[in-house]
Amino acid sequence: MSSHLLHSLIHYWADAFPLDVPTLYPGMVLNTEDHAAWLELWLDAWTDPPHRHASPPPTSCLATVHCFTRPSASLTQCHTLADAASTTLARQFLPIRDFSASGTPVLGHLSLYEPETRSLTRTASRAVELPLQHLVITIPGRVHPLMETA
Amino acid sequence: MSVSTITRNLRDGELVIRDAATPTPNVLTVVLDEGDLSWTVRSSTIEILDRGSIAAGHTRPGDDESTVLSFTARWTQLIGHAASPADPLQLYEFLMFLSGTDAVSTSPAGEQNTLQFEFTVLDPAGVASEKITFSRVYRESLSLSEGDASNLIAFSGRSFETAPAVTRI
Repeated sequence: MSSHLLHSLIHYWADAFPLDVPTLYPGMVLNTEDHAAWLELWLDAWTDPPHRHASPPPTSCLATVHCFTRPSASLTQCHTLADAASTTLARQFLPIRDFSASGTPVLGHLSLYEPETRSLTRTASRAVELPLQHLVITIPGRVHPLMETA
Repeated sequence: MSVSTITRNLRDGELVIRDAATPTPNVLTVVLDEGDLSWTVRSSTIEILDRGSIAAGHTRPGDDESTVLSFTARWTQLIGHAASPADPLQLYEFLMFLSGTDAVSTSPAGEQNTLQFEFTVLDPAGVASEKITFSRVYRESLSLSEGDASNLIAFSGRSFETAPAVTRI
């Protein structure tokens, strides 16, 4: 399910994120030297808590977006990216599809909840030049697999 | 067969609720329960002291006590079959005997509405799986509450029998 989850999240992001800034997905390589700003979208944790053998796993997950801007960009551009990323993902209810199957059937749904934004920008070690701006948005979510009802 | 030392846990359990509809009972497998089913077999004993002395006193069996049980399930939709006959039965409407569910009590007409709870605990080794049957479960309370991850339905009731029937399956 995790590969379908990631694939579905990427599909949604590619359609919904409104700004013209490149996004790196897991496994992608981008020469960032050519860009003043870019984002990275990760699905970096998913957990199945204890559950009945016959029940669908109540999987919880964590989606993360890293926003990077160079000093040459506007000082507020990183926050603009972070706001757009938060708005794109917060409180969304997305279908999880099997894109490898004919008709891309829906396997379940993903609920994304409230985001948290943190700054990882570091200034101390590079005091003589402006640092790369780095904001991280984390959004917890929950997977709802489709299930047969008796 | 040797005595199993494999302990069971919530992963091994399954709760099924059925009624007394004929010829085919309504059956609902509780798939979103929290794995917190709990029951208590109680017994009553009358202590008769001899002039305040336990050493010289004696005991007698007291009245029978019904079995207390409870469980919690995550809340999806509350009504299904009651809203549309084509929809599957939902936990809330079944426990509430809502009109339109066609639920039939497992107790005789005129008595309190009851259902049969069957709790199956599978042996991970596949040898000594067991079914615990509560034949006449009535509702004492049904608490519905909101939560961050899930809203919850908490059932609390009693089975009108001194102990559930335990069988090997």
